[in-house]
Amino acid sequence: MLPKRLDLKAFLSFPLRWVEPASTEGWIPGWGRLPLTAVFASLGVWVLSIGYSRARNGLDGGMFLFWAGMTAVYFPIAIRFVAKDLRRHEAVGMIILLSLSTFLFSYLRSPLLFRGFDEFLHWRTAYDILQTGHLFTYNSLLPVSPLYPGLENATVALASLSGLSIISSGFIVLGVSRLIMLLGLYLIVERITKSAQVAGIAAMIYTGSSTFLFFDTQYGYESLALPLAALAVYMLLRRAASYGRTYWAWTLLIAAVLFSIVPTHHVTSYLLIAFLVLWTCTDLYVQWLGWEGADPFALAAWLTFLSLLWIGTVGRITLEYLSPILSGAYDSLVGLLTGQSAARHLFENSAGQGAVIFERIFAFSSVAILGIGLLIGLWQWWLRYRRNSIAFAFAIAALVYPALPLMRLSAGAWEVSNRMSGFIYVALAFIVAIGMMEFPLPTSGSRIRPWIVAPCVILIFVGGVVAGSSPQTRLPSPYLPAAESRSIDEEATMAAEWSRKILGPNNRMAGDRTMTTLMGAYGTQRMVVNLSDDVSISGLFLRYKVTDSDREIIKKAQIRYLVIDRRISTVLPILGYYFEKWEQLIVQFVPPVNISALEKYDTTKDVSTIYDSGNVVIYDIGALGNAP
Amino acid sequence: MRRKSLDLILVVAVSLLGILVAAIGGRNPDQVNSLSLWFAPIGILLALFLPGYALAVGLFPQFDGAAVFLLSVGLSLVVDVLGGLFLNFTPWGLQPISWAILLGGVAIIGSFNTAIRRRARLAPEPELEAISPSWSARVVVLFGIALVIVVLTISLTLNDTQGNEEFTQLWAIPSSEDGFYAIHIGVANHEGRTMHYELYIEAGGARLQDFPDLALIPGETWTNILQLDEHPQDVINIYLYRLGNTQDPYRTVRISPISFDYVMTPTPALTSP
Repeated sequence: MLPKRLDLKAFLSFPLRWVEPASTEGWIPGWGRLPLTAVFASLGVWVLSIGYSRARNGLDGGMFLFWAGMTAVYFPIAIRFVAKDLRRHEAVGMIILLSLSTFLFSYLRSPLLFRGFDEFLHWRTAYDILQTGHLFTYNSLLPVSPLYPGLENATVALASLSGLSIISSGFIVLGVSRLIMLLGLYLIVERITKSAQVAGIAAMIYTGSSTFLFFDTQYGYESLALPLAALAVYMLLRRAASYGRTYWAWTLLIAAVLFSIVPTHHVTSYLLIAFLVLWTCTDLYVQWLGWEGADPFALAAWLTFLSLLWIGTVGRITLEYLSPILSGAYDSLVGLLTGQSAARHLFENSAGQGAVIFERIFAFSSVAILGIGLLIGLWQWWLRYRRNSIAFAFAIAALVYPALPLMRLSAGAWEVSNRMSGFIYVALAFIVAIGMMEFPLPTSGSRIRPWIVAPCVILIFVGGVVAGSSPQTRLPSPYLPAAESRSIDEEATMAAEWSRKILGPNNRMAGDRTMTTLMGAYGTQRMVVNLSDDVSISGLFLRYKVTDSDREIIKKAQIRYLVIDRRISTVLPILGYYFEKWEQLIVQFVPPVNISALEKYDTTKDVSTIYDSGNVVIYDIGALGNAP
Repeated sequence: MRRKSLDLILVVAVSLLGILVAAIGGRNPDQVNSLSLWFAPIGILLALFLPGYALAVGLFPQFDGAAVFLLSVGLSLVVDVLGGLFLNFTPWGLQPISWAILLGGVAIIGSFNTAIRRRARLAPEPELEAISPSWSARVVVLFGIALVIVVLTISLTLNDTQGNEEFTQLWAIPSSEDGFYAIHIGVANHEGRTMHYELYIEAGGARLQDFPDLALIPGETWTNILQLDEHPQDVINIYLYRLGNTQDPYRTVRISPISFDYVMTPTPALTSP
């Protein structure tokens, strides 16, 4: 039945009432406004999915709908977290809502397939575990991946018991991990501040980390390890309030959680050790001053011991794998600071495509808000929480934040900055949240706090999204050759599945970057790559004739098959190369690669063309390596 | 105790059911069948909730729904990660039944431990009020609307991302065994419509075999084995045409004679249906 007349005043004041204790209409005891917020969030997810669909089909408007959907999810939640009448049930419910919504933002981009480069590598590790029933199988695409099988263990456990595929099981594990991360952070901050509001805002600020939306929901080891680290920190806080046998039960379980992080992700283990050592120092300090501590020392030592043991036994190649990344970042940063190298262009991907101006403004605004929030937060921390040892440790860790935007100016260090943000933002979110929520305002001004805090939180989130993804990679898109995840289409995927079923696993094969990941993962082939085989395969594809040196490479690397996607000859590669970074040093050519070079095997003696799906071709070149 | 520890009884019951299903199932995650989908919720609970719940629920002096939930899923993942390491060093490895026994065992032992703690009044009973406030009709309707929108969104997206590309796969794999030579040929139709093909096999200018009308419905695969009398001396070309267009080969594969000397072992998938 339609109302007799529209109450215009009530209608227009609805946004204001959203933050007020509404004792009559719109108010549901216990749940607060959670049910209605859930409807808004689901509508936001729906709008965003329409944006994805339009982008996937090459239609305009996708980006607008993306931001509109995000806002529909974020704004009501942010407003409710600063409402006076927020109750814990509603706060926890909104954290769950936020976790699920942000997971769906990532999941709906590609719900049927993993598409990220790292995701393929870990899928292969999980597949090998499922097939062999054992860990530590060899993965030529990323040899370090099978040595840290935590994520794959959880996936395989779920796949084995539920009958779901690796991809479906992986998505469920990732969704649960997202929930653990945000709920864990919420409970940590709530435990320190005794405030659901501050805890909720801290969780929302954390979503502004550049890795949060997409990187930390990809099928990679950090996506599980970071939530486990948050869980361990929360449990350490809870243990401090227990005694007797319960204390030792907590200790045992925390020890198990820390143990599980070691075989899950190397960097998370090391950064958690650093944090626990820092916390131990602040803990000793506050105890020396006569205040209560949490005694994290023994568990910090335990994690250190396990990490060293793992590196010394299973993960021997870890340092070899990490050191070039870290030394490259260091050299690049030193080069930038000493003026020996130019600054990196911000908001541009490696193909030179950039963000639009309003995104740049939002990203700079978010850095400014976080910077100001950090200063105010440190002041509030000093006034209210300096006797709390973990708050003390967070305050020190948050001081690293100003270095992160600076590191983004360096070509070699920006990725380290990007990866670090997932960790540093835990501390930063706490400090900025207490700055925003506990900064004293005059009574007359307290009503405006929600209207300052909520937009700031949304701006921080938008800034994180802009910093973590370029507009070209943020949304799904129609097929594009030589463009990383955008080059994964049904034809290429079916070629990989064909090779697994017909050729069988672990044939030595070479291809361009996209086909290498597809064949190495879904195709379960043993892809020949420089990292594992110490040969360069670019010349096999880029030269117009098969030379003696090519035959040498085929022989040395025992390459049996070549896989070629002819479509790469129609475009410039998004990363600047098709096969290997140094391919121009092996064969100088003006991109795009000439189709004649790719098709030379059609007429090469002793080569068989065994597969043709129009664009994707597989050659059997085994005889070339064995010819005299 | 039995009445009060209903949650623990449920944990033990579902764990035992999960072990039973794994023991009789032998399910292959590559091939999801209708039976396994029925039991998927049990598998999900066993892998992601029950072990953690059994370990965590006895730890809190006062029942805290959010914290118990966090620890239930978090500790279950921990058991998965460490359980994988443990199973790797057992003779059975990481198999469905070994997973089920391990995770179910942790859940059952944890439940007994918590039951003992409850009897000694060291651990609280879960209070339903602490987990969820009252469910009025309005709450149910609003949550229901949100759920329906999300489910519809996911199903529409799944439909939108289903493959709509059009292509045909043609392949040929040489084989040789005890002086017998053969080529395993396959055609798969992913054009999204029924296709009529012509397939010709030639060597040294001579036609070896023709398949003038191969009709394949969408998703259908045709395979055939071409037996050869002796080691081929010429390149064998296999041309696939779309029916009525014999000017331009739609797909082409070719087998060099030397490839028969480097053949792979035929896999079961190569046999004709």
